[in-house]
Amino acid sequence: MRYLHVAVKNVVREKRRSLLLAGAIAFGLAVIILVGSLADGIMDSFINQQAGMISGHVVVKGYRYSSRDSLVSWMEEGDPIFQESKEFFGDSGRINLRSTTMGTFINGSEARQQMIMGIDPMQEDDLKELLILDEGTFLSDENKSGILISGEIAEELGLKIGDSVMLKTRTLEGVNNVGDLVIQGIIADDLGTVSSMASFVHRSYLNEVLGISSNDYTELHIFLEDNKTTDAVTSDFWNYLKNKNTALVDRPENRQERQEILARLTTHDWEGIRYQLSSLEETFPFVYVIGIFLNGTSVLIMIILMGIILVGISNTLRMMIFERKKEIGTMRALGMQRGAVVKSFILEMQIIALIGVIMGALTALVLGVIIESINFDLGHTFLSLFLYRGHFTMSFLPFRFALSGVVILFLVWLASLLPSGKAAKVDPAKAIHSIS
Amino acid sequence: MKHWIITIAAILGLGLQLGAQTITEDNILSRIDEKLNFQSDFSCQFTMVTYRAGSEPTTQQMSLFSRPEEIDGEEKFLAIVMKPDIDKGTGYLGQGDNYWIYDPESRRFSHSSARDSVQDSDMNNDDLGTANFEDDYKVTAMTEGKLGQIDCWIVDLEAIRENVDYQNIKLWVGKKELLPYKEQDFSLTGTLMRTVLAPKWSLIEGKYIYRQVFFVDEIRRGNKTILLFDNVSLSSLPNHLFTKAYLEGSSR
Repeated sequence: MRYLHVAVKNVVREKRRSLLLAGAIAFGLAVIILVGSLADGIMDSFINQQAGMISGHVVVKGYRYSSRDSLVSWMEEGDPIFQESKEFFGDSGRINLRSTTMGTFINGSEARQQMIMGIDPMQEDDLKELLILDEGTFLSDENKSGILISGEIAEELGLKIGDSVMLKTRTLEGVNNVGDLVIQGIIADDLGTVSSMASFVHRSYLNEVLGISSNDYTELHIFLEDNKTTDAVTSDFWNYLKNKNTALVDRPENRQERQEILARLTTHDWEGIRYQLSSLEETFPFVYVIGIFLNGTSVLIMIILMGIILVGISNTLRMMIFERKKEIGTMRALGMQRGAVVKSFILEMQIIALIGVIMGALTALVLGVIIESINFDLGHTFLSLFLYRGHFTMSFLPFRFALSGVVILFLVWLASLLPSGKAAKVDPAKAIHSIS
Repeated sequence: MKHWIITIAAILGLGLQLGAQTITEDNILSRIDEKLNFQSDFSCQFTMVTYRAGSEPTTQQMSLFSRPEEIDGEEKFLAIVMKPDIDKGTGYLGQGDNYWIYDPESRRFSHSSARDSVQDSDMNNDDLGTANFEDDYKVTAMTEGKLGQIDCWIVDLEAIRENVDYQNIKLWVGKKELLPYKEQDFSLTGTLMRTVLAPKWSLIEGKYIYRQVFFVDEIRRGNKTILLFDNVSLSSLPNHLFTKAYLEGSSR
């Protein structure tokens, strides 16, 4: 308590220096928290948008040879994979049945190619929340030929709500086919490039165009609550199915092996259906590479800043000790032990560091809110993939604040040890002699 | 007696003639394939004019070489772009069910399929190969009609194999020469997707050869491709012509 009193007094006595030092610590901490939160937020944003719109966190495809001997991904209503998925994931994952194809929208002489996703509107509440519509309404069972199309494509093709548009595609057998769709909703471009990655139709209608039954599907999309473990979960699910003797496509170690495995499927020396499981990481590996890069960058920034803080604290303390040499000598002459000298200096720096940590945390929060509020409007560029409706997303995790604060306090303690130790070794006689 | 012999001979002769000319649902497709396909190598040059709505038409000249399945056990074709200079050397090679596109700039081959279009036109790789109506389709209806002044069989076809582009086809086949002057290609849902017109033919070495073919996209208004054939020959071609090495070498 005695040391605390002395330490507080010293902090207050040299307000300017204390504030400057605390400010530097606050700056460093704020940057560390912001960079880390931004990296996590960007990845979360992208992953959840991609998963929600396009692929889920885990995608299951069922390859089989059709009645005309072509290899297609196609699962029928009674296939056991859906039930097995429900058993494995239980409440930890949501499962949606979807059909997908690439097609060309044609309106008069204008045409545009895009991925078409067939969904069950009543089962896709999360997608409904993710897709912001500029005009129109979400799909429903009442109008099965409705389509949700991005604003960019609607503009390019000159389409508005209620207009018909032709969809040219091929059936699962590869035969040319067309569908007639009605524009039911126009997706806002707020999601940037993600907005125009796919158009959405009713699965039963798309199945008709694909030449399969209305309740069949080409992909199972599984959505997890924790998007950071998609690869591990996919492997676990694969092993679970393997133990149940489900016919599976091997899991690849790398991208090249994935191509080789798919090529082996076309040898047509097998029958029935084989399921391929892919995690979001496998489907969009570049996202995770960017994530590693972002996290790596934030760690590097953190190391550099902490190094600077370490050096700064150490130097500042040395200066303070030099200036207070006579004071230290006097206190030692009056009976203060060496240990007490060390403790008082360390405590003084810890108080300054704590002030800095609190200031830094508050600054990070305020700046984070400001950054999140800015609409960057990157249009349909690659960078827009990492925004949510034009805004960066910050992932403020309590543990990040706590961990960063604790690390800063630890570093300050570490940086204070040596100078404090030297201060404690000051010879009182020499110190007093210098006063004289 | 002599009178009856002459009458019977006339009737027999007439019967033979009628038998030779009788076209039915069961034999019309094989007869068309016979007319369109050669038992020998085939080469020609053709000009392809592609019209796209809102753009200027583009013109390309290509050399085409083909060999029927009967000679080497699999059907082969080779098409090389000769003009314009920017596309010169681009090639299309088909061997059986395998198709490749050669890019002279990168000097690389990429795998293609029968369904891919040639030089972004309304013609597919499959259209460059031999006709195979008998194996790919069955006749569902056959009526008589006219195409302009030409008396025709109007034949409705339905696909019986997977490797077809169109589930349903309607052909206008001239009664006199059994040549398909017009083809309409329909989607699975019955929508007209493409019309092919072949109004001009030449008789060369006893075989009918297209001189002009129009591919009209019925979905995208304004899109069509016109082919004009020239320098047709049925002479033998060297075996090395239908190889990647030849295509690569000829593009340099």
